[in-house]
Amino acid sequence: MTPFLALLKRDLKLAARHGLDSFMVVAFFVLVVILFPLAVGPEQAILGRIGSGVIWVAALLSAMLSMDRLFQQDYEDGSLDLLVLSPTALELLVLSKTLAHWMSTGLPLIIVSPLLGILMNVSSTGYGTMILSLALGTPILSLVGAIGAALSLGARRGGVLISLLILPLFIPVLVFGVSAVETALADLPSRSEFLVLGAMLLVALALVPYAAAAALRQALE
Amino acid sequence: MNNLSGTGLQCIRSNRVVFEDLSFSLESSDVLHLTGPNGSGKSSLLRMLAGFLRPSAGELSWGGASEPILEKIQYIGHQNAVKGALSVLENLSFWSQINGDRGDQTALACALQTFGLEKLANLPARFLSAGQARRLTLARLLVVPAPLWILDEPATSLDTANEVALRSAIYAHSEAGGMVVMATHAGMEADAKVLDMSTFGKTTATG
Repeated sequence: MTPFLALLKRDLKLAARHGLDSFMVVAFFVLVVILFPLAVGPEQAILGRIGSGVIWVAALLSAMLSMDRLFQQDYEDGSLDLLVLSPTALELLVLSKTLAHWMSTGLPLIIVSPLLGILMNVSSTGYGTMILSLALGTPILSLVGAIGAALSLGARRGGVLISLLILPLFIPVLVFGVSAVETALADLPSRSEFLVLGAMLLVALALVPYAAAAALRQALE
Repeated sequence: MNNLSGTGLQCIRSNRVVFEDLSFSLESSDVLHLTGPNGSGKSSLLRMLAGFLRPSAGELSWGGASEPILEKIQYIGHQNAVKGALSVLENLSFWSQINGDRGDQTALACALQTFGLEKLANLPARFLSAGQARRLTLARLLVVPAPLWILDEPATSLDTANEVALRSAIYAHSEAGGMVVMATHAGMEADAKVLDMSTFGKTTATG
């Protein structure tokens, strides 16, 4: 097994055995969305209007919730030392850890999102687009979050610090993610939004491993 | 890689000179013990040799190369890097796979046996005692062969029998032409090289 797959498999195994982490992210996501009908009132037209935006913001906040654990545990128990020392490029290992993080937190969010769409009275014509936009958007959240997680290693209250560092960077993802769903709800093609999200994902995929790996090396000095 | 040397090394941590003008050299089959009081820079020097830290002055040479050759270094730090949710065997085989090994089962079994862990192979590592977790960490040395071992207090929490096992593993490694640099408080072999870190210390601030 290649080191990339070995690390991916180990992180997924750890996530599965600590099952609570993934569950907490999804539970937080669901709870935040449920709060909106209670606060805004049950008028279906209003809920349908704000639904896609609420779901996207909630997904973004839930993704932040688990971000600080991406490297923290490996940093604390000394595994990170050994990952840096392994002959495999650290950039590749960062990518593997980020992929595992996305699979254990981002993917469950995507799966429950149509359910919350029903709750928010989002028209069913938008579900496909919502799933696709989240599928393109949440990996960007995990990738950019990895830089924040690496930079805040060793800092006290790292979780809050990551949110402050990273949330502003997610604004473009949020804008295009929500507008893709809105466009689909208006029965227009959301191809251009998907292209922009796809482009952002590719840029993040290409640049993040280098930035995060450099931050990790810095943290271990 | 059959030699390791440093000349005029200096280490500064938060504006304090931990050690300076430190030179040493190591040939194939050498075992170098670092001794000295707490805070004399043993761990810092070891992290320098593993490439985590850059010396603020002086030069290091890993067999002629100025960058560490990662395939040829095994580092054991203070922490055990053991994941409690994985079994003993899973922990060990993960580290062998990360280092590009094809998952050779006999090498894994052999390493577990050396440190008396073969009966615990399927136990989740969170149930290990401190000494057993340390042995699991040390077993990594045997699973992923590398000519240079960098060991930071390897005998921490080991009992006498396992200290002997560690010593014979180090002896066998050096017999086979490997190099070992270790920080230690415990007794050492009579013919080992010793680097007393307290002679390079200095307490003046540079800030």
